[in-house]
Order: sequence, then structure tokens, then C-alpha cells
Amino acid sequence: MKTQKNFSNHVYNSSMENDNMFLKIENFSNITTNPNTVKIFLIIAKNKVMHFDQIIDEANLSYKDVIDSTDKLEKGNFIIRNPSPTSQKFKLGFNGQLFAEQLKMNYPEIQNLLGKESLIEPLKS
Amino acid sequence: MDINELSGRVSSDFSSIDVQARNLLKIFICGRHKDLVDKQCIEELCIELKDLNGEFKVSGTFIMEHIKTVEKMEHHQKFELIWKQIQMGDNFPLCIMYGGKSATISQGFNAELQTVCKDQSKKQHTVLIRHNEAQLVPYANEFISFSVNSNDEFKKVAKNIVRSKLAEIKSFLTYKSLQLQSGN
Repeated sequence: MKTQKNFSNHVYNSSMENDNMFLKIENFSNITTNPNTVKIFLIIAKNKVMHFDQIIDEANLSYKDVIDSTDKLEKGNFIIRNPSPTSQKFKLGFNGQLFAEQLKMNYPEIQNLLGKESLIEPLKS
Repeated sequence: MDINELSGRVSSDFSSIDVQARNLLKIFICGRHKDLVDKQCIEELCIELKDLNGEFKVSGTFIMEHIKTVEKMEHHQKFELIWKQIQMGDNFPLCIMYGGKSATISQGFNAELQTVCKDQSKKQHTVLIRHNEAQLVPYANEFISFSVNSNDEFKKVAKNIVRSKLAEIKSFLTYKSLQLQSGN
């Protein structure tokens, strides 16, 4: 396994560079093909800000499933903790805001769920 | 359709390598221009790349004006801030910078070029397309750039770059998928 991974890194390093692009693509793939993770992402996007316990209730998933998904979503900047990094509440991160807008363009049902107004918030320096 | 069905449908659609690649790519087009024609071709390119009925269907395509900032800031500061945010996420960024015919040395575009030049992580995801008559500062020569003679040519070159990036992402996703199928 290790050898395979090293090989794949070797193959793609020339074009995928050395800034974890390989890992980022893999994470994106894992997030978007997991229905539970997509569900949690949509729930947070719909509610703007959600406490961890509220996500468990609304998603009707186990504590472990929710923590696995929020962890992946947070690492990929799909969601961020709000208002502070130690908070148990989550909202969309910049990457999540862009992705939610992409989903809205591709799925009219998601546009109905999340609303027509742009989810991309003004950036703070 | 409820949220369970929706998330099931999205995750199923994203099992396609083609769908994943088009959604992974975040294309950020920027340029500076005195001439409205130079600005118009940037906007047209953005619309054409995003078009869900077109060839590319890269819905994560945007231009500087699409992103707002809380505080008022110079273009190059905003450019830097957008880059910082993009790089935090799981995505594949591509910044297309266009120095159009009307670009001049006095414009902020050159400050943005400098921002990219200083940072290897930005530079490797940035392509510069320059009109032969654009006035850019000497460090613009540090980029592997594409020279064009017209705005139409700019759009053609930019689209070729997007095609190659999509192919690059798809080749990785295919490799990963084959790895999974073989049980490794």
C-alpha cells in the first residue's frame, strides 16, 4: 500500500506539485461520493449555522457518522467553526460557499432548498 | 425531493469522474483593463466556461467582481485574500490572468503579478496570457506566459488550458479509481 501510494505520488508530482493537491483531490472525491457527508453539508448550508447536536438530530445519523463527516468537511474548508475555532457550531467556509453555489447551479432542487440569494459572503482580511 | 434523496442523488452523480473533475476545478479569471472590450472578453469567457449546456460546465468559475470584501481594499490585496481563501479548501485552483491590449504598467495588475511571482504555491496554479501590446512589468517574464494578438485568441488559449487541467484532474481520479478497484 505504501509503495503504491509513493508510486502514485511519484507519477503525479510533476503535474500535481507538492502542495497536497493529490490529497485535496482525494478528499474532495471522498466527501462528494459519501451521501451522509453530502447530507450534513446540505443541512448546514440550509440552516446557515448549526450546533453539532442539532446536526445529529436533523441528519438522523450516529454521533460517529456526524463527527467523521464534519471532520472531513472542516479539513476541506467546506465548513468552519463559528464563531470561534473551539465552537461546536458550524457554518459554510469559503470553499463550501463556492461548492454550494455550484450545486445550486446544477440542481434546481438544491436551489429551492438553499434559496436564490448567493451564499458567498464578503471576505474579511 | 427531500434532503435524503437529494444527497443520495448528488453522491451518486459525483461517482462520475467527469462530474467530480468539473466541480473540483475553481477557475478564477482576472485582468486589468482600461478598455471595456478587454473587460468584456473576461466576462464572456467566465460565462462560457460556466455554461451548463456548453463544453466545459465548470460551475466554479468566477471573476474578481463576483467576490465582495467587507473592507474596501486595493485590487492586489483583494486578489491575495481570495487566493488565501481558495488555497484553504479541497479544490483544484486555476487562476487565469489576462494582460489585455489596454493593460498598462501603472495599473494594479502588475501588483497582482508580483503577488503571484513571490509565492510558488500560487505561481504553479496561475497562467498568464498577455496581449502582444500589453505593457507589463519585467517580472511578468518570470511566468510561462502565452502571447496572443486578440481577445478571441485569449479565449481560445484559456479554453485550451482549462481542457488540459480537466484532463489532468481526470487522469488522477481515474488512477485512484483503478487503485480502489484492484483493492489497493
